[in-house]
Amino acid sequence: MRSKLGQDFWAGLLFVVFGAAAILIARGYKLGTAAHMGPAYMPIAVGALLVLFGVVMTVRSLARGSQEVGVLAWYAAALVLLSVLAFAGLVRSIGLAITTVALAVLCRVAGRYWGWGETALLALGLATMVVLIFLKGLGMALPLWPGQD
Amino acid sequence: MELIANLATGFAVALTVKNIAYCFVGVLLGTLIGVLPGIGPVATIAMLLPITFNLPPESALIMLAGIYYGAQYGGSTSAILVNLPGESSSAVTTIDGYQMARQGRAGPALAIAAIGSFFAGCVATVLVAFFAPQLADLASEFAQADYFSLMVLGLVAAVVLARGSVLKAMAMVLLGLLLGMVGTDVMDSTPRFTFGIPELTDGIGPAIVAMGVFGVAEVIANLEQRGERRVFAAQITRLLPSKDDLRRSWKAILRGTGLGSMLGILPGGGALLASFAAYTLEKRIAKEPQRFGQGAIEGVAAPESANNAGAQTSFVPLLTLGIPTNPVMALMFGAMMIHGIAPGPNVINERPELFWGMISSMWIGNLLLVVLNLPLIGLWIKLLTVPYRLLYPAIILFCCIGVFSVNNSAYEVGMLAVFGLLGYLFLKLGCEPAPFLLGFILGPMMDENLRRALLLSHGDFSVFVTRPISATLLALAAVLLLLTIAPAVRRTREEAFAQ
Repeated sequence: MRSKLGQDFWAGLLFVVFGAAAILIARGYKLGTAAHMGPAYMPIAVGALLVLFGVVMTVRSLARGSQEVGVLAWYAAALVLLSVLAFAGLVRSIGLAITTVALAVLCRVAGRYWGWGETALLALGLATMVVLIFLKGLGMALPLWPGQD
Repeated sequence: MELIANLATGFAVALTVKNIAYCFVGVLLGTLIGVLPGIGPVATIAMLLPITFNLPPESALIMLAGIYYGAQYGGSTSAILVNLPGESSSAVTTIDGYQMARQGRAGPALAIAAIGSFFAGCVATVLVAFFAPQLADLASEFAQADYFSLMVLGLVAAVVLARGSVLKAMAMVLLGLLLGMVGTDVMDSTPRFTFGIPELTDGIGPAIVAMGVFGVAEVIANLEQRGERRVFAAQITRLLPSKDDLRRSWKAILRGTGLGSMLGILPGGGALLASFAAYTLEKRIAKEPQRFGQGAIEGVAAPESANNAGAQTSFVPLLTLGIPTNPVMALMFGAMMIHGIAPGPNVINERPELFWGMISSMWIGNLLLVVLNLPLIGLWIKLLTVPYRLLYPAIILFCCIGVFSVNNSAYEVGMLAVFGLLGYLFLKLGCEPAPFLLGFILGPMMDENLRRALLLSHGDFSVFVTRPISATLLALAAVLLLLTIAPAVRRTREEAFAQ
């Protein structure tokens, strides 16, 4: 299915945003000359090209349409990303063991097939495995339990 | 004779018990993730990078290289048995491989894939040993302008190979270049795009970007899909190919190996391009092209030989010019930097034991892979029946631990989530991540070489066309780009005329 607000429209918009942001931020750096390029030279040049490409894609999609984006798996995406953020936020304070269990449970909730028993087994299995491999085997500098940092 | 002396140096390193063990671990892991759809060598190598900190550099690189070519073997298993490419470079193998499995000939298909891969691996090892020193000699002639043009060619090749619109792929390269510039400017130490965050002053680690875009994002995308896979495991009655199979395959294996080796060396090349090109070639020169898609064994033999050859020869530009040509090589580049080795023409002279050890290990690795893949095929089939719902939490977990261990930084694990989201958006918007990652890796190097070249030429841009090496490379890039755009232009016009 094609749509005017299809993949290319949003991708073009994404490129414009990144390119424009790069130009705006890089304006604060020294531009320099071609012989002595400052730190702003390349980012502004690349950013400008990116904006140009993004505009072309957006306009072309509005004119001719492009592939539809399709359904976004917001629920799965949010939970998977949350599990990563949970790991980032928790691992230093509550240790690798409980963090792993939390990550595994959040990940499983993100999926379609879900059962407490299997999830508990998986979480415990993964926790045992990573503690043995990364803490005991490779000696990583991570606490195992809460309050050990 | 020098070649033999060099290989002798290499085997002395690769044949130590310790390095055989690391090679084995590498190819075993490679086969494992090759068999499993949903996780590829880029994410795996990124996850394992931190673990290799404590290893000697030879062992680390031998293991990481094993993952890449090992994945080429494993990828064919799921392509043939489940009609799912375990590895993107095995995607074309599904066409005829799965048909063979449905006709009850899964065994011969798997065997030919392994035999072809082994043959290709042996030939590619010798080719790398032969050509790499000569390319390294040539590389000593390279000036900054030439390096810049070489990277332009590499990025153009990545754009050309990406599926879908050329414009989109070019934009992805530019976006990668921009994000690659985050961090302290190499020339005058101004922090760029760091927002005052100390974790960003050294730039964003390539492993974080790779794991986010290829690991986390893939998991989210896979969770969208319903359904369980069906495995054609029961049908494996006999493994050995018949005389007729061999008669049909041996030429295809030779052609696949040759084509794959050549395409692996090119910038932007590697296993993926090699397998597609080899399949197309076989179909084009076949006497009965209608057999393709119906279980033609050449359609398995050629791409599987080509992807293994391409995987191995793609190490040549990295080891001799210091230019990574695909995302896997970009991570190998990172691995070498971690160990204080600057990839480039000097590696071969300054660290011969590392260079030749790694190349010799590829031959040993291929031998191990044949043993791993043929007699142990039953084990890999079992693995294919492990449901995805048990695998993806482990993938996410290993990505998190992998990122954390690079700098012991929880902040960087947070960045993993950001790149996971970005990667998922890329997938939904039909944007290919490979050109993005390559741009990201090459960005700082291009910036530096461009600026140094222009500093030396006093701001005169003509230096890029007056130096013969640079001019040739840029001309190649231009021709490549024009060739890609031309048919697209034609098609669009035809559409316009039809209406």
